[in-house]
Amino acid sequence: MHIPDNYLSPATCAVMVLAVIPVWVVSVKKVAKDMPREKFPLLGIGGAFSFLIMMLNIPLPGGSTGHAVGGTLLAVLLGPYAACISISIALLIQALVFGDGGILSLGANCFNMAFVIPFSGYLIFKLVKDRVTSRTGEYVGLAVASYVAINLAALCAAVEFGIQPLVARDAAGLPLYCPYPLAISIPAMLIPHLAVAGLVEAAFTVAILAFIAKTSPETIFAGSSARLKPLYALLAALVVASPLGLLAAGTAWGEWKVEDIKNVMNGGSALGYVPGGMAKGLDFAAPLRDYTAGGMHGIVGYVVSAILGVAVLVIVFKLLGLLKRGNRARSDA
Amino acid sequence: MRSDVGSHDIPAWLRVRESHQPRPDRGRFVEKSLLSVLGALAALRDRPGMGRSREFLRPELKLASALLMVLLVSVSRSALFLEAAAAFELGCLCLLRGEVIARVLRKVAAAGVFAVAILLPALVLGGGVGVLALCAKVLLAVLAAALLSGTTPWTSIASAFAAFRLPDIFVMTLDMTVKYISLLGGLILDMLYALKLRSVGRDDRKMDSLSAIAGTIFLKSREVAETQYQAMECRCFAGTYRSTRRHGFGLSDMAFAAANLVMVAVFIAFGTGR
Amino acid sequence: MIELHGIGFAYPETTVLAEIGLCVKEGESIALIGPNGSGKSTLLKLICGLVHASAGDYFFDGLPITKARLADAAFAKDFHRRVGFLFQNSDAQLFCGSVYDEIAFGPRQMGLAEDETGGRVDDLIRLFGLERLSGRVPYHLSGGEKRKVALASVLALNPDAICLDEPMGGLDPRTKNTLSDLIQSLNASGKTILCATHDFEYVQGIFERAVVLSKEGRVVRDGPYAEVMADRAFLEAQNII
Repeated sequence: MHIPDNYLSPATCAVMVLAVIPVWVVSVKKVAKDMPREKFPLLGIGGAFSFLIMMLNIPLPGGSTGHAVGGTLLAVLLGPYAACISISIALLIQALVFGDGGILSLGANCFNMAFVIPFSGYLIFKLVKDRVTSRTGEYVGLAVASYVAINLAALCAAVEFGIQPLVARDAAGLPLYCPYPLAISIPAMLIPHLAVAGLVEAAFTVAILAFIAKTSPETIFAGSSARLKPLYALLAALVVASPLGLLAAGTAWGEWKVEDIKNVMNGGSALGYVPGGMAKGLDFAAPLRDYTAGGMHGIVGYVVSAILGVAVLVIVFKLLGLLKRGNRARSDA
Repeated sequence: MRSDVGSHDIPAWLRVRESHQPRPDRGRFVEKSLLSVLGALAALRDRPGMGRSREFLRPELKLASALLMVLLVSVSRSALFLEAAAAFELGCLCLLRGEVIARVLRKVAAAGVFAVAILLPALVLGGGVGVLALCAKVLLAVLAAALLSGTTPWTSIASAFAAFRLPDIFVMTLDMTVKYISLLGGLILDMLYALKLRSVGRDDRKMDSLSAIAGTIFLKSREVAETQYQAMECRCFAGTYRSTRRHGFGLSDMAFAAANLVMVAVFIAFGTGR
Repeated sequence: MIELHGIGFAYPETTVLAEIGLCVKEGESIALIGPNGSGKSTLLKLICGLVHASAGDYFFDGLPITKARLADAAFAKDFHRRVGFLFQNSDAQLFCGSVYDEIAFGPRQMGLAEDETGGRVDDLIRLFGLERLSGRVPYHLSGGEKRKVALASVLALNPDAICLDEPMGGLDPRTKNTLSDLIQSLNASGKTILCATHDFEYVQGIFERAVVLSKEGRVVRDGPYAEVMADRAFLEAQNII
């Protein structure tokens, strides 16, 4: 569910960052208040744990494997606020070090995975737990909570994707970022999560918690003294505010006009794009020239192409050198 | 009694050689998890060619540049700017060693394949050149991030955050997270190896084994957290986190900064496609 | 049974093992000694197929053991059953819900009937004196108890050869003696034993042979245990005592 860069418009990314900042602030405040200083390393631990959970390949009946996020698990183990911080940190490291998930879209990813999952999972679990008495009932509640939470997050991601064709269009009315509207993005995201990923998440969460409950039941988060109402309020406010914010940003972008397809045919000057020129690293001096009117554009374009050409050559040679060294080492062995 | 074991108590079945036909099973999840964790640990460790003494550029500059490039590329509407961004990034890439280049390009290729797979329907359905441009943007953004992560050990990235005046607790937690990933990651690896070694037949309760490993890691991590803070306090840690930073702005730093400013200029001039 | 010829193992910038040559006959008991960083653990992991050599050949019972070979699931499973490995860190080896289940894990995987599995588990619990702990969660046991459970869980597979990585580390004297006697008995009943160790006073009389690794990861001595251990000057030079 990690959203890479450029699938969401910068405006959407900015809005999502703004949406998740209050969550972070509240979480940090809560954690600082409730957690004694000796337990601060627990945040780093939680982040590491969250990170490692996402690395594990989980066996599914039938032989395939899947991944889990473990957001609800962490919320139940550490509390939703600590879980939010831990998962955010894990996402940051994944984005910066591994390129799992984009840098600009970090806000959106944190919103979906570090806010929606732990908080909704925790709330649903609490709702069930306060109403059932049996152990089995609690585990069922946990399974349901983690299942619903991850699907909610998938829905949020789907909405973030699906509104891109609405909020970010170029002069010809074509989407600039994710090109799939809600009608496509929602089923595309939800179906795999409802059918597979949600079940993996639920099964894994319950299994781990059962192990911990058996081994060291006292480590499970006992539930803070905080009331849940402020949480509900926060969630509700964000749910209402986000689409408004996104729409506003979209309008500010100012590209609502749907232009004729004819403009597209007109040599591309209205578009600002030229096909085929954007693939990585190959010589494309030729296709690029036909849109510029010469002059300043032409000179800059020329310099750029020259740098590009040289860089590509150097890279190719270095890679060849690497191959040769590898072959020689193998033949020596 | 010297020990708790009678010398000749070894049961009969242990004394004979056994021959056994292993039952077929699909145990790929252990392998895949192992590879995943190994890859993660390797990426977080200092690689050959990386490391404080060999840092060519200040990490803050690289971090800022990566952020800048990702942002500009994302916002840009102009083919010329995207080409310029490609020239800049590939220009930086070609200055690196062969192994680093290969590593970076692998990440970019993976992102590219993924992007093409996702966007293919849109392209086929007439999404126009915007979709191709999107692919290009995805590649350029991933390249910018990969250049950062491929040339900068994590400790430097974390201290770069410190240079941006982010709160100490944030930087400390970031640093500790990576340390714990290594620590717990090492334990997870050993446990996965142990599971692999004992997977001599069919495991009908794979989920149990894997979740038990995950659960044990969690419990272990709590133990570590408690001792860690005590250890830090013993060494006079009181809440402020100081990271060692390089002083001085070298020639390479200035050249790199200048190149970034050129990119901004190109963006302003041509980037919005007007 | 185990033959290593010219084995080397290296990470990108460090060589851990170089030019290792070793022949182990079935039923031998070998102590692997060397200073920290000499690659003892790596060698044991290589022998049990966890890591693969970057140079040289490894044969087990005449069969070449390579990465490609071990990619075959059936072969790998059989191999891992025949060569047991006791990790230095017992925590890594224990992940079941009870001591009983931990020891039963291997036999159950092998597909043994539950009563045969139960028989094996009971035998091992008796052997190690773990009767009181049978239903306990391994996570909470003491270091010595964990070590015993870990070894029991390896023995439950009835391996032909057992690799032990610092089995005595961090144990109290009584437990060390127990383990020492046990290893000796296992060897007497035909198991091939390879053991990386520093605890020399507890392993007297167990090992027939000592293989000494240098700091650079090379075999510098390979001979009768008593003879090697008697050469104090050599051991001091190698930073072993």
